Amino acid sequence: MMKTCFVFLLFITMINADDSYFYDDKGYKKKVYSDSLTRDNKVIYRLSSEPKSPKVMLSDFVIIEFEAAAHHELIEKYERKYNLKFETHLLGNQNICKFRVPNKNISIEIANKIMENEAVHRSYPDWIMLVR
Amino acid sequence: MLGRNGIILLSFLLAGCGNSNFFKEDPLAKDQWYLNKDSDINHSATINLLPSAFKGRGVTISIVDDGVDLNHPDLKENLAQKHHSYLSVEGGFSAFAQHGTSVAGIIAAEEGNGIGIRGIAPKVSMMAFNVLRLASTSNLADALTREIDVVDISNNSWGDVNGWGEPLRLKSLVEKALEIGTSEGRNGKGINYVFSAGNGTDDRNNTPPIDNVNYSGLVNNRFTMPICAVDPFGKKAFYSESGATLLVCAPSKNSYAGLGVVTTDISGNDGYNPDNQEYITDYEDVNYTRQFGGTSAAAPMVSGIIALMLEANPTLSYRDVKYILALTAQKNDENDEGWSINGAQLHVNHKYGFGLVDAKKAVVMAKEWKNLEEELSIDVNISVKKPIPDNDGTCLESTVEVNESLTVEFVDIFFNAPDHENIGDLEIRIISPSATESILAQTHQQRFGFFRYNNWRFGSIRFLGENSKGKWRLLVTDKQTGKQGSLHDWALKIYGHAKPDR
Repeated sequence: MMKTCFVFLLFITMINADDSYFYDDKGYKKKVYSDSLTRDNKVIYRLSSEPKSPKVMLSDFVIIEFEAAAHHELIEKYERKYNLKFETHLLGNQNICKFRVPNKNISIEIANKIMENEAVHRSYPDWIMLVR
Repeated sequence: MLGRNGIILLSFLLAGCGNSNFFKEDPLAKDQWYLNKDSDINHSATINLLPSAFKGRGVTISIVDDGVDLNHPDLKENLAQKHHSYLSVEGGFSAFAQHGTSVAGIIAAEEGNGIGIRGIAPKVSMMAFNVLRLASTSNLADALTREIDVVDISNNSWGDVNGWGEPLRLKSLVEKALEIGTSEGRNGKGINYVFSAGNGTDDRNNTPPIDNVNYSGLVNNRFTMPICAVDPFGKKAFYSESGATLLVCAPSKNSYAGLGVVTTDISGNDGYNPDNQEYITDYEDVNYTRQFGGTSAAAPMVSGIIALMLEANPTLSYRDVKYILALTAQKNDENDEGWSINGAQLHVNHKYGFGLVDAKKAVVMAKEWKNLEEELSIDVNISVKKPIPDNDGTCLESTVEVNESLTVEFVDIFFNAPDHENIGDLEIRIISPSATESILAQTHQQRFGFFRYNNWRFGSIRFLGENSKGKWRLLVTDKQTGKQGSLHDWALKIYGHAKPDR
């Protein structure tokens, strides 16, 4: 019974993932499609409906670009509110921060929620890209 | 600019500084056909590396790749200590670094140590960043700016996974990293970002080209130096991408069993040359391979040459380096119909950029080079709002008059036709006031068809050295019936320096 429930939940999750979206690094809202699972059950995504389009994976991080320099209190506030852990400022820019998410499977959802804050200019998953 | 006689005189002086038999003490160096014509192997395309006093001393290069074998006997002498791993777990830096290890050997294998090969810049200092093991946006941006106060050259033998004709935009964070590296690196002289042009096309079956450097945001911008590949006889390697932003090319492998690039391989039984290979004959010494190839092998040849140039003249900016490489390149595959002469009398080809890189000439010119003046730019926006004729034998032409005079170094073209549903239908060309043509996009099969030209940035370096003043013409041709659209607007951004011509 447990196994059936798990499979059913996984199925529902995959279906929902097909309808999910994210904001890209320019702030455009885009659809994201779950494609397959890796051997260690990490989800591989596509950023287009085309089955053979480029694939990406989620890392443990989200990137937040604030409207202004992210001071200590602001960083702590976001850590508490979204259960994040501040990792580093990026490119020496005080506005751009990299945060670790508690679970990479919800990093799209967290990034989308963070995007709703007025103090945030951009918020997006730190996608792992395929390069060669 | 140094005159021809000056180059010849300096060449003799430089040749006198080195040992004319510089392959003698590295037993596999005789197989490094790509270095010069001394090798017994039948070939004609080389980077023209001759004995010289310059070996990359005082120059630091980052190998942005899957790591480097830190214990390789032919590399460890030239490896600095500031390597960085992007993996959260310890170990694995050397063991899985087959690609980066082969890249590193081309650049910096130790010379005269009685083993293996010799690198192009055998005294350069290397550091390895294994970002390809975890290539997230933030990690790539980090790897391109890591040790920014120390790194002179960043070798990137990687690129977007493409090959299907879809433009891939540069991530804003990576673009910022390149901007920072070229404006703040080397005390404002800029890190030299060398990139492989990409292996995303296939000429073997006479099929139309698929990918083009202008479809990749990584190699269609003015910050990077895209390097294409030619076979041992100077003809285009079948996989090497063409395009208007190619700077120069370098020799590489052209077929599965063909003559490959001899370089280092991870020590031990893994890598390109494991000891149990059944199908390909490789060296008995499994620390080396003669099978390396792709534009991955071409890029580090140019990185090595830049190290020699920077030792010869540490004041060179990354813009100076690009200029010198273009001015000194060899005209390979001379009978190819794609060659043209631009308004600054430089030979240029969409397949080869300015030609096959020439180490000797580049170093000689670097030594005497006077730095380019400050970079200036001109911006022009053109509203069009006209339909693109749908495969009726005509094209849409839009022109703009530029009144300012700059010596052109690079041109960005922002193309906005967001309602055209098949970008693969379109051939897009721009013609300079000196009548030099750049093909920005060719008609090609688009594998997925979801991309639109929504203010897409194309680039071109083909106008290098020309005067910006005069009429610039953009020509858009829809060569396949069916999908239609209009050109809303386009913008031209010209980068260069003040006159007079060099």
